[in-house]
Amino acid sequence: MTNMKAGFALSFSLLLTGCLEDSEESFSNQRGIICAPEQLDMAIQTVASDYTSSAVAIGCSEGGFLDGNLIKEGSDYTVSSDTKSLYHIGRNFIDSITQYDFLLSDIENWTYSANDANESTSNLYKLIGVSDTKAYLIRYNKSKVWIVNPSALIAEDFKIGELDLSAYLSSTVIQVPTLDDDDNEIFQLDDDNQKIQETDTEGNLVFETIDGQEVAKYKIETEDKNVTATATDMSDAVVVNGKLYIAMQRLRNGSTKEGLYGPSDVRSYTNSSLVAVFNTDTNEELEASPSDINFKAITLSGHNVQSLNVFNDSIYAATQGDYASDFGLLEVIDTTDYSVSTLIEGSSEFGAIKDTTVVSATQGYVLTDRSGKVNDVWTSMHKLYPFNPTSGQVDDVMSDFDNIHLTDIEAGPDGYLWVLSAVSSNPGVYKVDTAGTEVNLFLETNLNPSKITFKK
Amino acid sequence: MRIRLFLSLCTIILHTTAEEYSLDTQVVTAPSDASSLSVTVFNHDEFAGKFQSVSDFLQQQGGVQVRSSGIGTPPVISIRGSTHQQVKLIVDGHEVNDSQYGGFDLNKLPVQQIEQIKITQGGLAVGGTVHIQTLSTERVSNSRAFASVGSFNTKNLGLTHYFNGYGVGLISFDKLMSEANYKFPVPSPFSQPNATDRIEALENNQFEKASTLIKWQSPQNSKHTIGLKGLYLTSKKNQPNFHNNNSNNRANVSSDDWDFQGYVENIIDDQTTLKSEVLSTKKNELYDDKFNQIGVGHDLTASTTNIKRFKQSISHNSNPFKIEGAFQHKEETFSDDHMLVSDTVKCIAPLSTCDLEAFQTTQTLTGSLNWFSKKATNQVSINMEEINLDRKQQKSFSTQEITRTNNHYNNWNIAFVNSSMDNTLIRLSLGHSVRIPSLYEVFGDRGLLKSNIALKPERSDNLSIDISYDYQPLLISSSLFYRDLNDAIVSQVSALTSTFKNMSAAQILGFQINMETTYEKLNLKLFGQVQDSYTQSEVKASNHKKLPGIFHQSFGLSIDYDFNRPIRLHYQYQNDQDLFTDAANTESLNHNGRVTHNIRIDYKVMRFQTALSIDNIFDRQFKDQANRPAPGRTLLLNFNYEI
Repeated sequence: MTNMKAGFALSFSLLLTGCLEDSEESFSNQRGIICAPEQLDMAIQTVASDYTSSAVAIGCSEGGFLDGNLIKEGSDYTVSSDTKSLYHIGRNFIDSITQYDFLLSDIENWTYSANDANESTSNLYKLIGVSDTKAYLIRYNKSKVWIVNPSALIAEDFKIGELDLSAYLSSTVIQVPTLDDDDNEIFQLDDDNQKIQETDTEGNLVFETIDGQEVAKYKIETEDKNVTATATDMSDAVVVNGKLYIAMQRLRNGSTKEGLYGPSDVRSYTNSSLVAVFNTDTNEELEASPSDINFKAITLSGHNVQSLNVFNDSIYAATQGDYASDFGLLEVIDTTDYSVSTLIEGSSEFGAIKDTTVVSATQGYVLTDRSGKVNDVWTSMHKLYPFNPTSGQVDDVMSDFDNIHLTDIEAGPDGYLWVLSAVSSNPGVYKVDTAGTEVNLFLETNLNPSKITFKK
Repeated sequence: MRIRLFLSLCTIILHTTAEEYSLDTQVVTAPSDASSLSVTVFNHDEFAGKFQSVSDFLQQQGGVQVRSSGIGTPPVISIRGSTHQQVKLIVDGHEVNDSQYGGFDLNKLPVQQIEQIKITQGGLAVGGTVHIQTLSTERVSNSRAFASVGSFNTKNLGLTHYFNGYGVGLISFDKLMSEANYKFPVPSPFSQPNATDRIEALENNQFEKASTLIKWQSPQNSKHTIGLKGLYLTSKKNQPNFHNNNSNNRANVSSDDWDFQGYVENIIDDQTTLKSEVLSTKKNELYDDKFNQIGVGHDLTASTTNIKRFKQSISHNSNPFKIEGAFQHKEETFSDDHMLVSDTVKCIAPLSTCDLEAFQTTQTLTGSLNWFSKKATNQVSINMEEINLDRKQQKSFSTQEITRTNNHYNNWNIAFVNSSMDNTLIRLSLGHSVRIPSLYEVFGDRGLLKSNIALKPERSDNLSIDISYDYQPLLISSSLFYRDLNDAIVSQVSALTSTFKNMSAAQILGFQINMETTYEKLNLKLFGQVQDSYTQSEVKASNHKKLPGIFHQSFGLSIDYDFNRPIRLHYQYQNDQDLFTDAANTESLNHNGRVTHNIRIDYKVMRFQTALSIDNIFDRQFKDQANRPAPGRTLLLNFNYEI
């Protein structure tokens, strides 16, 4: 009897697995057409909505991909490409770049670090190829762009130089306590040599809690101290006619409470965003703002630059503002004379300018961010508008892309617009015929798409 | 003998839920091997002097899953497929789950200062409850000194001294230090970033903590008993940079905890007892990454938690009923200060840093009714809990507050126990419980984590059938359980911002079995657990999947052999399989499973006791439930001396 009961219990346990509904059977990761190897020209970074994992969909712009490649724990990854290779980039605290050929995307060519020895995280953002042996690495947390050799066979040959952007590091003046030489007194004294208590804006005396005791807070003597950031917050870069354009947000300027611990990452969203220009042959910085005695770089009117996009001789710079009252601008840089003009202004209704892409002289698209509270719940909402890149005329929002979670737009080959949707219940990629003759193609992804790149 | 054993078993089972809120500090003295799977009790001698921490001990017990990622890192516990936050930790009758973040540190107290650990599976919590009872002052025990040394330069030293005065008191001091410099595959070593996955000893992973416990209880021979408890804990855990193992890294988290607890117990008559309790808790914590060595920015953040409680309870025992009730009023405040950020730039934009200031007031009414039939062959237990919460936090970009008032929640559980069949005990349990979202989940951090004040609690309907069969020397305990979880709270990240939402549901069906037998000097235990889970989620990738973070299959055995009186050998084998590390169940990220072999030799002579443990003896490295490399083989040598 005893043995029977024990046997029953064990048998039961073996039968238990699978009692609930079967998990979704493993389905094919193939979406759309099956691309021939020579067609492969597109990669899409995807991330889990809880940011625990990520994967890359690799395929062709004709309309198909295989999802579930380059799976990683963690999500801070992105993709870049050049004329033949796909680059899988690990960003903050990962700081590595891996090269694959589009033709043989399951074979890793190399992985190299984007940090120097004994250097903190560089937060790699993008690789911009110039030739088989030359490319630039955009490092968000640093002030130096790396010049690298994508054909390097060993790590020691990978980094071949640097572009120094330290002239563009933001700085600010902060107040630090002044120690008196005699008695180390730091407090301001009144005419009677008594310490002066702090008051708030309404004139009320200010107290602070120290070791559980509420004590008066006294004014202290301070002096100015200039602090400088360690990063230019470079966010994007493009190459046009042999010149490299590097966008810098310059949000960090270095500042601390009382300045005791070195610079903290306080961000100032009123700092000017700049675009530095370098000759890709000589790696020399070019004078792009002759009238500005401070900088060689181009100064944008908008703040917090997000992206640069190229069409012909023009670069379209999207600036997002401060996520509150500044909704950013879409500006265009004429690369022939470095002049800058504003095409579109963001607004609370229109949304903050997040990204743009241009497919022809008269057809462009601008992605805006209207994320905010809906019924007390923070909701990601974006809008996609067509606009005329020449006149700046904006059309009505595209009905399929109105107040949904969108993460990236990009003009692909043959004038198609690619739109990445991170709607949790149905994430995927839209291929939009900008001529308006074809129905949108939707290719679902397993995880939320975050970045798309095409072979150059 | 059998009848007595079953009576004690029934009593334990019946107290499954009521005791969570009982002020009764009495220690359940039944041996743990008599427990059913719904309630498992472990007494001081089973873990003190043998294990380094509570998590190390529980990791080797069947039925609960503990994820431990190295000494000093708060472990994560799962009961019946639950998350860590769905488990309650109760210390000396009071829940210590953190209202701000919802979690707790299972290793908060050193094992030498613990009298008893009790695991309740199910009950009034979504997953279950871990009850920890600190050293008892019911009676005077021998004072003792203890020490241990272990792998990674870990040292522990302490002393517990009992004293007689007016009543019984004790003072216990415990100090632990560890380098915790275990080997780790570093993805990008700081000195040579391209030396991918070089194995290095972890830098800046040191941990130290000290605990001082003082307790006193007045003589119990009068109608009034007074008890006092003071606890001071201080700790410092350095924070390694697992990615580059930066040797310049000095990031750390330090904390100081003070607990004061006092009670007065009045025996009204032979059947009725009243008890009044006050408890004051304060915790200061400082997160120091001011040189931005591990995080995403320079950070020096101080936080303070203050909790004040008053609790009044009554217990009435008149056969065939036992009735208990309690009312508790609790006030909690949490505040932090991002010290590196100038006050002038805080809260000025949606993405700028804000200091938190959160308040919570809780009134809890609990009641339990136990009914025993004649000869105690049938028993019914009804437990209910009614919670009222008021919460508020300062709103971003203004001085306004966001509030949620008059939030009512209730948990209930009904259990029926039958022991009318020979040697067999059957227990049916049905319950409904909620996991109240933490303040952090509701209000966010006023920065990148956005609030969702519409967030609902996680709800779980629990059903379990336990059958225990005792035919000495064989004892079989089994449990079939089913949980239907709704409104699971999930973090949804979107570019720079994130928020918590009720986005998924899950069902869990499980079976658990323990078998134990003793033959002369040999004791053999077999244990196993199989769980199946099925999720429904608004997030496509997480829909129709299995729950991540839990082993769906675990089984093992342990053998104890008494060579002769002073020497005892313990061997344990454990095999955990079928774990998904992410909600999307990404195949290539699946855990490879874990097989561990642990041995321990206990030696006791007169007042001296020593134990040598080697855990994970064949495997120098294994991965925890998050697929992160964890310390592999560890040695621990313990010494105890009764003074």
